[in-house]
Amino acid sequence: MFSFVLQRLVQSVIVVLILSIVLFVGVRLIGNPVDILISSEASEADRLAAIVALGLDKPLWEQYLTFLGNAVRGDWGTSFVYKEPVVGILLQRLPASLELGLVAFVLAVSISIPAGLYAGLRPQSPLGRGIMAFSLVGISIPTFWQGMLLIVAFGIALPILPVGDRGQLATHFGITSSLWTLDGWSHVIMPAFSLALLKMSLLMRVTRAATMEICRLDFVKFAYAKGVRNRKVVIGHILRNALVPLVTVTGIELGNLLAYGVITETVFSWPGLGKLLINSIKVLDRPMIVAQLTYTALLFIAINFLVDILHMAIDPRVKSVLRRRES
Amino acid sequence: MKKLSPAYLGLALAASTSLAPAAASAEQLRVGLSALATSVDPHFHRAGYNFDLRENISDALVYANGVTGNVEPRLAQSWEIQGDTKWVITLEPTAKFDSGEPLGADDVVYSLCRVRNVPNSPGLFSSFISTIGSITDAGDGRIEIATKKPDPNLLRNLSFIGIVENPTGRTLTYDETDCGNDNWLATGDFNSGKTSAGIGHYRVKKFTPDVEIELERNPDYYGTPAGYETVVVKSLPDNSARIAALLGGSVDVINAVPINSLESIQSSGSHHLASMPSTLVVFLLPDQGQEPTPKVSGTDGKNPFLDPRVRKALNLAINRDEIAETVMGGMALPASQVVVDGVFGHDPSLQPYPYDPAEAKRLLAEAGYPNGFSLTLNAPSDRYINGAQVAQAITAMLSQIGLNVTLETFPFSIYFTKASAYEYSLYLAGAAADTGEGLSQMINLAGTRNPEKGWGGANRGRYSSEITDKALEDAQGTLDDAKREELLRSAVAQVQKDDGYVPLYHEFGVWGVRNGVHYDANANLTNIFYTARPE
Repeated sequence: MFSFVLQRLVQSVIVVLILSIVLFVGVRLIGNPVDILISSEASEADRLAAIVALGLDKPLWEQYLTFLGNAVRGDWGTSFVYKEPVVGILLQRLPASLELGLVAFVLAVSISIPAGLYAGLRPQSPLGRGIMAFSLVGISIPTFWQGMLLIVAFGIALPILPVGDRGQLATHFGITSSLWTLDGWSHVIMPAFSLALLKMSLLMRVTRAATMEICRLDFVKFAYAKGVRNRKVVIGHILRNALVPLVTVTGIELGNLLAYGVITETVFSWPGLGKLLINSIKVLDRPMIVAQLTYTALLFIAINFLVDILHMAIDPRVKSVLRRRES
Repeated sequence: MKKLSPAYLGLALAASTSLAPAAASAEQLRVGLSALATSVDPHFHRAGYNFDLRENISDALVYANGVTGNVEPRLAQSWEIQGDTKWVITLEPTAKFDSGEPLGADDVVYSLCRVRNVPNSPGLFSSFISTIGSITDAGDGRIEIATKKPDPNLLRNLSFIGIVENPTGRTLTYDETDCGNDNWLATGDFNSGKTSAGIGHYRVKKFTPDVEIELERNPDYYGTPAGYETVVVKSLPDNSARIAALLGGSVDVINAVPINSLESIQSSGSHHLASMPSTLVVFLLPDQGQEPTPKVSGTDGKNPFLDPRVRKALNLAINRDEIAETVMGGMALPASQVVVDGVFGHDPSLQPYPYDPAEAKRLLAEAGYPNGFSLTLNAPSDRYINGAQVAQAITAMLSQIGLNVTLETFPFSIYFTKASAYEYSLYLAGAAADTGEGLSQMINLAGTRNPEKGWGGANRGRYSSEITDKALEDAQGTLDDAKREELLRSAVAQVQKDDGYVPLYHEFGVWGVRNGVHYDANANLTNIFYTARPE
């Protein structure tokens, strides 16, 4: 177990290092931020001053090493555009993204797993078919499109929900969030549903497929034959086995929800990280882009790690494989 | 709004579905902008969205009015020119900073000194003060500015420099480096609210980069007070999100209304449009600086655009009315020249080129290209309103006169890097008259490109004419308005005679406004919140 964790950690560090190099070089290939930031009427002297001010006059390797040295000490650089520490701006935006991502995640999981389980147990029933039809629609409609439909329907035609922004904030238990207020919930629910729809549909299909597969296996038939109560078979045997693939998919989806709500955040002008990323790319704010994508990578690595641990808890076979490898 | 404990969250969720957006209070104006100021610091970054905020929170000596085109007094109550280079400016005696200190000559000197001393600025304002030789306290609330040579646009340039309170306790001695001071106000302190941005109609209550700016009325303002008690400015870069926020009632005003949404705003019954032609001219610029030119083929290595007949053919091949009416939905004014009507230097005797493809074909044949040639037109995909669609229409129009045109678009983030490296043969771009008059715009566009001198910054096709340069140079040193306008008009006419540019149209600035709010459109595309009022 310990060596597994250690191995994972070393791997993660290497991945992050490689990623930072790729990002650093890649972001420089997109274009020169000075051309965007400086006024077209500015003089050559102003232009050179801007290049020096942004540290772009130094060779690339020197810029990278400076960045790396500072990053290790927790300083991720200063935004070109806002001249504020990147970490500060990210932390300002993180709560909004977390709120949206978590609400969407809870919505997706709490609806899709029971629904998928039902559809898998009763594939021929009208409700089972209905669930499948819904998930097909959910998967097929592009996120930006259903987002706009939701806005038009509930924000403009039938104005019951506000459009854009986080709504009112409040602080409880040291956490400032819009989820403490009614107004905040009225703001978050529409974008969260829009963001959750695709994941929800996907998870329904995965749950249904896993359930149907497991239902056919011998131990399920045996349990039924033994006279185990239906409820216990479904929860203790079918669901538990179906969870193995589900946890993997859910983990990745959680990462996606937390880091890549770009489209939803743009359509609903939600002040989170996704919107920040798009705006940073538009103006080539290099430190912002690098910091944000590195954060995303770290997030995914952490989630994958958790998924592996969860696998061990759910499926004893994983643990024994590891033990065999260690001995 | 009621605060809830977690136990009631589920309940709240159910109830929230019937919660309508809060009605706007008459005291608050909520504005959604496509781009938000990046800093509260008035000297931090020379960019349009920062001009917006600065104009509302930190007065300059004068205001270049984007509605009337005039220069109006602000912190300078009056001014007079003595000789050719000496300006005596009387400061507004009743203007007070947030600290209660009255405005003094030392504040003006400090602010103009700070323009060159903002660490890590991505674009300084320093070219606006490049002609100033010295600034001194002339006593009795007056300052004296001496320019290095006659500068007719001194005041317009100074209209960009917000005046902040001098924290040093002494009057700096103006020079073109650091004025003998090494401890300047920090940008971060302006953003956090520790340092006041100056004297303005509004004060910044809260600044959240890229999300929201909250302003509150300055009760001690020396002039006409602002119409609204508070203003909330939100960042809404996505077109559909901006429209949805307006129609859904979460903001009262939006800027940069996309063409395809004009109809939905006008027909909503609850909103109206405020629009006005902006000084921004959108043009095509043929490469006149190199041979061969990179994106033309089928001419045996010759650059066809060095021939004025070919450039004239381009001008005649474009149906400007069609573009303005159809592609731009009527929200564009066909351009006859670089400088828009109403701006100093516009030549009213020039008319837009007629649409005459037959004559264009004849000129091409005369220039030795009876079968045309192959050409790539470059355009930015995301810079101007409907810019990519305009470029498509132009591609079709140029094909009509026998050119084999391919369209290539790039995102704004890399487009101008390539243009500055002269990688295009014919490209679409735009340039505004930042200072609200034609001289700076003409020098920027039609002056021979010379980075050291600061000329031709947007002239990436390298149009160059000695006659134009001479007229612009003379205009730069002429204080007499009538004479200067004459010189400027002759330069404008010369550009047309040379067919140096293919001016297309002037974009309209379009704002969507909720009924019950009065909001002024502005030719400089600046968002002025203090003239907005309930009605």
